[in-house]
Amino acid sequence: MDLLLSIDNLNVYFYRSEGVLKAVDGISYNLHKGEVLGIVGESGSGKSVSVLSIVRLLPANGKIVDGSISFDGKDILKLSMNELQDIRGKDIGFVFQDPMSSLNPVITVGQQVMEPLLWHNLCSREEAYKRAKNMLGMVGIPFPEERMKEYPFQFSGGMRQRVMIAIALICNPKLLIADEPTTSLDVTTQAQIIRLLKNMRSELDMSVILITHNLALTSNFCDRLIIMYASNMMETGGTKDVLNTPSHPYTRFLLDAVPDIEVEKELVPIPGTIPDLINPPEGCKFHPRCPMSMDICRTEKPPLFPVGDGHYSACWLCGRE
Amino acid sequence: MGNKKRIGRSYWSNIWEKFKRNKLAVFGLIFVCILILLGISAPWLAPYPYDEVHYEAVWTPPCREFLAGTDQLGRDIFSRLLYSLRNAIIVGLGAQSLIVVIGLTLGLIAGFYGGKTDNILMRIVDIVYSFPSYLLNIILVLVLGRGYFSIFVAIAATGWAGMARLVRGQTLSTKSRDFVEAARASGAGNNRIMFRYILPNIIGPVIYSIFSGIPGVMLVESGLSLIGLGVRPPMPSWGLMISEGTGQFLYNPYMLLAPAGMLVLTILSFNFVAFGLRDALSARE
Repeated sequence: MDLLLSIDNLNVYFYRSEGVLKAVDGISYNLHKGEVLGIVGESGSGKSVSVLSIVRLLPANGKIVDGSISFDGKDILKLSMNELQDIRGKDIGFVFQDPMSSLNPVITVGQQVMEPLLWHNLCSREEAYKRAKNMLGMVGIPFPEERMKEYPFQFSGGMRQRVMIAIALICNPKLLIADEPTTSLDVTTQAQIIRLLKNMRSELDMSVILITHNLALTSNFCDRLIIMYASNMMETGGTKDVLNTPSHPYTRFLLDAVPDIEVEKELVPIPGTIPDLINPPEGCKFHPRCPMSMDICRTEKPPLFPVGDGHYSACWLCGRE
Repeated sequence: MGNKKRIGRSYWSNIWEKFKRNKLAVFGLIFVCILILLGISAPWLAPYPYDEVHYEAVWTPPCREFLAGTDQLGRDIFSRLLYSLRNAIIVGLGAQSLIVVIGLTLGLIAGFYGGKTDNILMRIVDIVYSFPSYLLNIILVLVLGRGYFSIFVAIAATGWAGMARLVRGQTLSTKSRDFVEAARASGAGNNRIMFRYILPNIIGPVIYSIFSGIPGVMLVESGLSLIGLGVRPPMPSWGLMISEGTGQFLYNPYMLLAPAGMLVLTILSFNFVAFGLRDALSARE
């Protein structure tokens, strides 16, 4: 498979008045064409920041201090603002977490779906209208022609998220980044949106990065998973491998915290809280909460050890064997 | 939802619905429209030219011939009121447009780009804000000479600071909303963000501020006329007429009451519209 995106040793720091916050601390991964990658982690683990860096959409106090990002053969960190704007929306589509606030309240939905096409000069206004109408139909909005004339406040949350997906996909991007696309929706809508993303992926033949803190959503959608904790990659590998044979204690904890309707089991919360990222713990970031921590965990940061075919784990336990 | 055609309700029709519920505001709006029409058609409606003197009819109380009486030169007060209204509207709209252009541009730039630009622009705003504006108005009119344009400039030179502050604040809060980031993610540049995403979303408070500012501008013009620095006589102005009327209040009270009443009515009706707009615009989404 061809390589689409390659991130190498990415370091993103936020400069706050209290100090420097390492939001992403040396992360590397590759994404192939047509692949679906899931990034899972708690809030504040750096998953959003790591993907926002791909199009350099960081807040003013955030900086990419080290590493390289190459997308489709281009070195993202060396592009000018204009070249970046060319990629945003056209080659990389974004779906954000909160559809209630991610649409412009004073412009009709139709306009908003058409705009990326017009901004990138991909087609005429009439053509854009047609494509927007088709796209809205594809993402499952009934009566797309009528609804294009309406404003976002006339849409429900699930419908708005469909509109967001339509906006992200209208230019036929090579990569779709969905940043917790279902977090603010109710459970039945969540399932619909994930199914929609899945259908659109196979129909439009693109790569997808799905960010979520819900492991259950990843199992039948993602090809590969990255488990993140406190700005670091804990484990990565094929979805089945990671979910069936988790090798990092943090992943095991995460899996224990997923409710399962069929099996009655006690949900086990992970003891402790996510560490302060301005003064993070030495060594492995997870050691203060890890029941299996050893001396080496307190002093040295574990590298990624191979534990299977394409399956890696950043845990000293795996390095011993 | 059915197969029936859905009734599209736009942002503005929504605001209009809310505005209509406020009877006082609707009344004010109707009155404002009438005033503007009267002002525009003053040259045709006025029974006499504003500067025609009738020495045979000095200080005539209101009668059939002179609807609002005559002044010390026998000029028809009703005609002069109409022309004053015309002047007040010209000054109100003219100066206010200048204020909007300057305030909106600088406020948008300051709020959007932030940092050093913001700092410099806002310090200028602070300086203009802390200046005694009436004094500055007088100086500017004296320097520039009397006339519509110098009155516009004098009023706008002190009035834009408030508008710039308002726009900057609104821009700052809109800039950080999710849909702006979403627009960036789909490839929008700075100009598109400013004009398509920020400006339409802050236009509500700006419209309110435009409307509520018009009476203030009219008052400043009246204040300037009161000390003889407004529009050039014999062109009438409410301020000038009021100052002429005060001396005659005990003998010919209509000379004061007529222009003062018109001034109050005009300002009240603009304010009612402004309040109605504020309520309609604030309750959106």
